[in-house]
Amino acid sequence: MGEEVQIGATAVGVKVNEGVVLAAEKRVSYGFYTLSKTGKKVFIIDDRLAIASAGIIADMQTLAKILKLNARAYELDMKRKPTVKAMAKLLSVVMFSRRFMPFFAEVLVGGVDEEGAHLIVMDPLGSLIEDNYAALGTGAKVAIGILDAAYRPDMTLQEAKKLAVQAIKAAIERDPVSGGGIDVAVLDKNGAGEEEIKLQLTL
Amino acid sequence: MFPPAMAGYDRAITIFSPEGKIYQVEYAGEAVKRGWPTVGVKCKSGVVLAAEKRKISALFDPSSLEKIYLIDEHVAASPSGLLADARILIDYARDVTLSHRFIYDEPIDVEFLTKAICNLKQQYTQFGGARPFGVALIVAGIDRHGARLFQTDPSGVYIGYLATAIGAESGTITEYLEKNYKHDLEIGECVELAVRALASAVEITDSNSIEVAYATVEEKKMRKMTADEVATLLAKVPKKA
Repeated sequence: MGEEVQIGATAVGVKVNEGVVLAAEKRVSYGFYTLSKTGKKVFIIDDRLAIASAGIIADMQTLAKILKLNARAYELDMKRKPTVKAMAKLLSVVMFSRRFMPFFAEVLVGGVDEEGAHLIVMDPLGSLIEDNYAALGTGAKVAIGILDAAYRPDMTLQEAKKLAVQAIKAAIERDPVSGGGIDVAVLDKNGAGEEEIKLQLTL
Repeated sequence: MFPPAMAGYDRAITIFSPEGKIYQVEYAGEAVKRGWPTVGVKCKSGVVLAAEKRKISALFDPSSLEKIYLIDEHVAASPSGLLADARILIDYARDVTLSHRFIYDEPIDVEFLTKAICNLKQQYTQFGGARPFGVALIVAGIDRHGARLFQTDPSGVYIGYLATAIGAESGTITEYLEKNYKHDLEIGECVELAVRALASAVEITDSNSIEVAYATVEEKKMRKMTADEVATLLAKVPKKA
């Protein structure tokens, strides 16, 4: 793995009273080369839980698979769906178990459960921090400014979605390893929805 | 012709009798039937465990013996049968609840815990080289689903109940519960029902000869009653006729 393979990505999460929005851009870059414009960094785990991530694609995909498997196993065992916090804690245990050879990914865990909406930020070692909004990856420095300026906890989910997309767009403008398009996951008490926002190619 | 049990089918736990029975497991059930009785009652406001603690000798120190084990903050279990076997299961159950808290940062669901205990019990009915656990447990607690009450047996079966009893005289106690059970009870009344049920079958001489634990849906905490609280309670309960 060359040094050019870095956490080149932008992922944001916005929590409001109604639910949570997770968004990430789609660029997979190997240094100065854009390997793919269709990299998926937002993963729906179950119908009320999703993650968005910045890092090595393989690690993100593996973490998403581990979480999906465990969420399903939990549901079968407990006869109820896991809470957002429970799954975030599980992910934290998985990530910290690799303390000395970590998954190279930062993760945003978002979802809605009996207690309401949750957004949890995790670093590659598995730290758990609950927050109202967050930005991860190389574009985070740009995206967080947009979120800081406009976030209100009483926003509607639609407003939150617009804000998240706007933050990712700002990061794409200024972060060379972010781009390609935007994946958005919207979670509220009715379930999880996913959509892709295509970007106009500016020449 | 020999009766089936004498034809050697009770010699190993890995062999079915022609009637499809595993005799060693059935015998383990006999150990439970001879155990000190224990009662579990669930109502809308919570769940209660009550267990007899027999005075095994004049100089025995009742405070040294436990019949109701707290497994986690919100769940407890009471065994009947071979109490040494029960200890192993209780230790295992505590382990399961702790690792559940470690992994998920939440209290374990009572049914899942019961299932974990019963999976262990089941293992000992299918593989040779060891005997089954000669113990039944009543597992009671509060979780996201509300008040929960389960009874396990040596085969590894677990069943949810509104009220149940295991051990010696469990038939008499169950009969009492069937007659007097009401779901719409406050926790105090529920405790009284459990103790009365136990007292219908065994002689409760003083507060040292019974153990009581309860948890309310509101508080979600399993609490063992102190000897003083039990004494106050027993004053209200008629002695066995």
